[in-house]
Amino acid sequence: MSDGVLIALISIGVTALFIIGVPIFLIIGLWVVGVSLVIDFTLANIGVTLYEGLNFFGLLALPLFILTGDLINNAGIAKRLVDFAYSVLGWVRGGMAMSALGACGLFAAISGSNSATTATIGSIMHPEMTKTGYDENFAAATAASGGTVGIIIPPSIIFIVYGFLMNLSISDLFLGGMIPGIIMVVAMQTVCWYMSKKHGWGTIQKLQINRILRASLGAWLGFFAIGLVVWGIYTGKFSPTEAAGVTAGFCLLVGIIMHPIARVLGVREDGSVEGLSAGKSIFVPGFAIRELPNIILRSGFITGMLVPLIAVSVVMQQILSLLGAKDFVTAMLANLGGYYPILFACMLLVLIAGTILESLPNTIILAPILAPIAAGIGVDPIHFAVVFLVGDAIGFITPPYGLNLYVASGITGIPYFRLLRYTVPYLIALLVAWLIIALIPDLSTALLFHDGAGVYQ
Amino acid sequence: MFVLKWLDDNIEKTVILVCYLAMTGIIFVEVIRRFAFNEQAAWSSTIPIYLFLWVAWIGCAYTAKQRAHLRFEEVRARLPYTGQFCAVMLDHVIWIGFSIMVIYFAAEQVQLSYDNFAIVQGTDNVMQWWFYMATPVAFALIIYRVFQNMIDDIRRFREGKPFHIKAGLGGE
Repeated sequence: MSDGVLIALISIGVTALFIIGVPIFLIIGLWVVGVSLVIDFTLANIGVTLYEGLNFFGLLALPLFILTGDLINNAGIAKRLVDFAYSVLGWVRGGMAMSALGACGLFAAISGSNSATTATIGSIMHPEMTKTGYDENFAAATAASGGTVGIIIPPSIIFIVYGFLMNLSISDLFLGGMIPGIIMVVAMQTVCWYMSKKHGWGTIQKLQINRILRASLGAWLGFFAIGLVVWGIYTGKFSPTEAAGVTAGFCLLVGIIMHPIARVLGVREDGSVEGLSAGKSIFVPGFAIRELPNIILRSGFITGMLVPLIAVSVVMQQILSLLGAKDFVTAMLANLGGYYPILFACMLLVLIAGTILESLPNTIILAPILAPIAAGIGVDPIHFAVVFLVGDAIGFITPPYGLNLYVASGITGIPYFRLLRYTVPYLIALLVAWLIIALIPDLSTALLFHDGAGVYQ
Repeated sequence: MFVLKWLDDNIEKTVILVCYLAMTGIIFVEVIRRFAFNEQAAWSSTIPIYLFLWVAWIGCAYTAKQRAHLRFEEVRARLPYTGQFCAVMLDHVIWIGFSIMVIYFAAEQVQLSYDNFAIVQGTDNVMQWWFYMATPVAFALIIYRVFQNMIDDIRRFREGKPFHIKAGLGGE
């Protein structure tokens, strides 16, 4: 049997294992081992790369942003951001669901992960939405879909990985993701508004400047954290990793210091500002020092889930490049000719791969193949990165493997397949947003200081 | 006995806590120091990465212990009981096989670094092989955890109890 046939058999075999539920880490690991044996490539490479593949300062931002997300959630800052979003959007039909989406955007601007965004906003908003008359399936679908902006609005774990792989400035990538992330939020809010209007979901509260001011006062720590990250990265005062470290350290200290103060002042544990005077509402509930180990362990748990996946995907990417996957795909796409056919073909590949692959493996495996092709036809590298990663983000809610759907199903108890149906309108909105982002490169590159075209750091 | 029980419960947690806090602390303090006093330790960009590698791989064992590694669950949840048992056992066998391979090759790496007296950049006497130990140690731990889960699953199978099919995403 030729190598090609053997590799095809291995690929089919591991796909079968994937279907019966073997962990993805092992699926990729087995593929790598199998193919290495077939093409007679040393297995020692795996031992080295699982370690050296992660040995990169930029990647450190990943555990730090995960920790930041857990800290702002536990300190009650996330709840304040949700309240703020609601105070701004509560007067519209469907305002609560729309503010859940807006809060996803705000949370995404401090944390960097999709599933964390879904889990945090979903667990705060889902009960509230169900209480005020939303369909519970729709409410869960809102949390799952809203979470997709988690990796597009900076800071973002996946941008860090992309920059690390493709040698692009991570700060540039972060700036590139800002406007597209907002477009995604607005697109989903539009759908949400339409659905809520059609079904008469939710209640309406009057728009009051007073309420907005109060809520923003309560959320000031969240805004400060967002400002810190954006300012630090935009001005180049610190690298993304340092920004992550500073925000994590800041949120940790704030959480601990505020806890006793909040108790004395009688700030409610759930973070709600109702009935508090303006002066008291600037304090968040925080967390006791003895809760800290559990918060960190939770982050360690998520890190232990994602980072091994990165490492093993890097090995897979190496093997694919040994096999000449890049030349193969290039030759295949070259026949299409032209800027748009190739760009759309790349997008289609990302989308299809995203239905079964988790976003990190998807990026690590496909980006090194597709990015040079896109660069070859003159797509700006930052623009392409954003297009690629928005497609990746959409993969979080596409079946069969959509991580956000699992998370939302896990926190709300709604079965996976039912959730899937209710996600369709959001999926369509995101696809439209994706097309817009792909067709107008300026949306991704407008915020960069320099013309991003071809500038590899 | 008490010590062993404690270690069994807390070994991953302790490593993750210490390394995670140290890594965050070093970066936070060093950035502040750079702003305030214009000084920064040379090892502040190397040691945290190595701590991160410990967090990542020990975290991998911690996640394996809780059977929470990302996977597609919908088909497995609908398999007949014996089918589920076989699928769960298959996971364990693959984990163990893969871990043995990683330990074998990672140990070579540690040996090499040990023989070369390689030190961490920016330090005078911090040996690199201390950190290279992360992968072999973590995968040894994974084998141990997988064995524990395997015994648990065999017991469940005998008693006809349900298996852990849904991964808990919440941690503990």
